[in-house]
Amino acid sequence: MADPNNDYPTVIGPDASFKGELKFQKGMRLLGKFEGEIDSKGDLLIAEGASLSGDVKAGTVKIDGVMTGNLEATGKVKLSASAHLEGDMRTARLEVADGAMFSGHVVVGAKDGASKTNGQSASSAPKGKPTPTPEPAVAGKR
Amino acid sequence: MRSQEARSRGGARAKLPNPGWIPVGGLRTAKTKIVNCTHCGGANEVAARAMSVFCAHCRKRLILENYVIKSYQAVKGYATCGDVSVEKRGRVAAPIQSNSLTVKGTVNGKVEARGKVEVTSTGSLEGSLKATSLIVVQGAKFDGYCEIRPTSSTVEEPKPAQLTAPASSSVRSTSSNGVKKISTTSAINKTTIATADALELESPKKKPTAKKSTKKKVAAKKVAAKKTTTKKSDAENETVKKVTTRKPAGSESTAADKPKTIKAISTRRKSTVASK
Repeated sequence: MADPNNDYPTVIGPDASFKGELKFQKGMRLLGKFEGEIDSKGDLLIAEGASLSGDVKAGTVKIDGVMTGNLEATGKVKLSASAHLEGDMRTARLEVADGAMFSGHVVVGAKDGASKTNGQSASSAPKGKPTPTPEPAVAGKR
Repeated sequence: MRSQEARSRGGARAKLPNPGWIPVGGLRTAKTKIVNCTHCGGANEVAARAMSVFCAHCRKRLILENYVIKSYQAVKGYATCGDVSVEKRGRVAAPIQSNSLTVKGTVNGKVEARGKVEVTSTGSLEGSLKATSLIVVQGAKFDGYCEIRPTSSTVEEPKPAQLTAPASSSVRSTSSNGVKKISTTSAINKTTIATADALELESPKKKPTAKKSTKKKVAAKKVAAKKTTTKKSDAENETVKKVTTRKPAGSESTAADKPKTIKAISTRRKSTVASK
């Protein structure tokens, strides 16, 4: 059983409203209102009835409430049936349940893919022959 | 006692429906399903095995087949009420309209799905997407504008094509209602009586979808009716006048109960009659 208190030690309660920039390590559970920016590697849970407006960078994001703003997640973004999201999204995985409302530009997997391909090319380049060497050989063949 | 019980049991058994008449495969009932038109969105009840039908609302052809795209095919687009599956080697560079969509290959185009869209780890989707639910798993690629809305908003809306077909019947039905209403308010306004009796117009706006053409027709009819029913209205005026004059003075209480407009109208009628 996943314990929300363990997974999301930071909690903004249902009667609380926060305005500003927030950083956290492990995870945050938003039950109230949040206005501002979140920049974290941890997980974020926007509970039903909660609202968040602003840009978010996080690991895994689960939305049950309302969010307005751009979202960037390194992990998975999950929108439940009660979720409402307006804004652009960039994530590695995405799941939108039936009943959720979402509108915005989505990029899934491109950034990771790009980084992976870059990483692969960067890693493969030193292993193989350097790139400039084949070019003169090809030119010589001609 | 035993014999009686046995009889009663037997009797009870005899009352039960005989299961012998039911065929082995069960009763053959026409299996149907409900699909939404890809053109107008109207719901159609179709046979489960049907491959294509004509929409009952917009009369356009609907394809009900499921598409499995295993390779590239040069098509303008896929529009079906069934499901579309783009396989691993499949490639689509065209708009897709379907019930649900599974992308294992590559899709490059506008996607409109009434159900679920799933992009698997080998899949790539590029283009705007409209759906009710979406799953993009790890490794899949998706780039484009996305709009996810629940089914209720995407499905049923009053369609203009849907309303054109039964428009005449609906007008007729409302017209009868209109006549009833007019008969109740006949003592109130003579001009409306004249026009409404001739035209059988409905007094309230029951259907806001009445077309301009119908309005024009109604207007034309009004003009024609006014001409034809002026005599009628005169006769009615006279009768109404008689009725109003015949009423004794003792019935003042009833007259007081009635709205003031009747008096005013009766005077108006008198004036109109006098002028004529």
